[in-house]
Amino acid sequence: MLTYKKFEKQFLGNIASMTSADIINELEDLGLEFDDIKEDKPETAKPIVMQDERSSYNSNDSNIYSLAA
Amino acid sequence: MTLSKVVLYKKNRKIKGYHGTDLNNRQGIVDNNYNESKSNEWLGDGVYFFIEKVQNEPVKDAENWAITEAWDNTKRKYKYNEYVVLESEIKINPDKLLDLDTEDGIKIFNEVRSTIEKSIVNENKKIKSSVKRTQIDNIIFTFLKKKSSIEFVKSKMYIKFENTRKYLIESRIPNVCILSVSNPKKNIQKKTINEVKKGVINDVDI
Repeated sequence: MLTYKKFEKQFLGNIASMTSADIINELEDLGLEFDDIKEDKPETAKPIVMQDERSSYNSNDSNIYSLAA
Repeated sequence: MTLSKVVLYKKNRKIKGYHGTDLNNRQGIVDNNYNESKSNEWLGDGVYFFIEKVQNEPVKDAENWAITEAWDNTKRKYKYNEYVVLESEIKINPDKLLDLDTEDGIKIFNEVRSTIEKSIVNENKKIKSSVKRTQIDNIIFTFLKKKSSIEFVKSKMYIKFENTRKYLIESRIPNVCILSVSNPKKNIQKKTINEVKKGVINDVDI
């Protein structure tokens, strides 16, 4: 029976000269499809000025006055 | 250890395997031996045989498989209406057998999967979500065979026959035992290929 020890010697010998990229290329040739993982960047905080511009407490918002009336 | 395991591990012992297919393929196989199929979901490229009883006798598994495979779900019709089950003697070299029912067999598969996993992580990739789990296993087996002397892979597994396929009954618990054989011209003697069963598929079966 093929033991792990016998296999390990064959397998490691056969992939010794292969880089990770070589292995990925070979898997792609066999039909495996991959996506690249995009770097996860933390969401940029919104500038305070922009938040103020959207605020309903803006003194230029005429709706505030109409509601109050 | 079961009797079949004792037989399988003796040097160059022959075991009987059962292969179900379209009756039209019979003569080509008997005359020229089997062609390796490019399996998409099982144990890598090779010729497939049912070899041991799990739920049913292997000859029955081969018959059920031939009937199930006849149905073309896209065209909603049968690809063939007559099937055959062929029995063949497979000469197994135990040094080239990956047996997934053993501790070493599982360790071998996991070693290869880990190597692949490390490469994927190093290259900052991920497998597309559209790829099925069974396809990934199949590609690992094909890669493993290319990088070693393995020519036989044996495993108990779950495959869907007529009703389980029709009613989408998925499971992880094995119902068959199969053997994938590479290099059939060397490992299967043509003169041992015999028809053991044939039948007609009734259109109301599926």
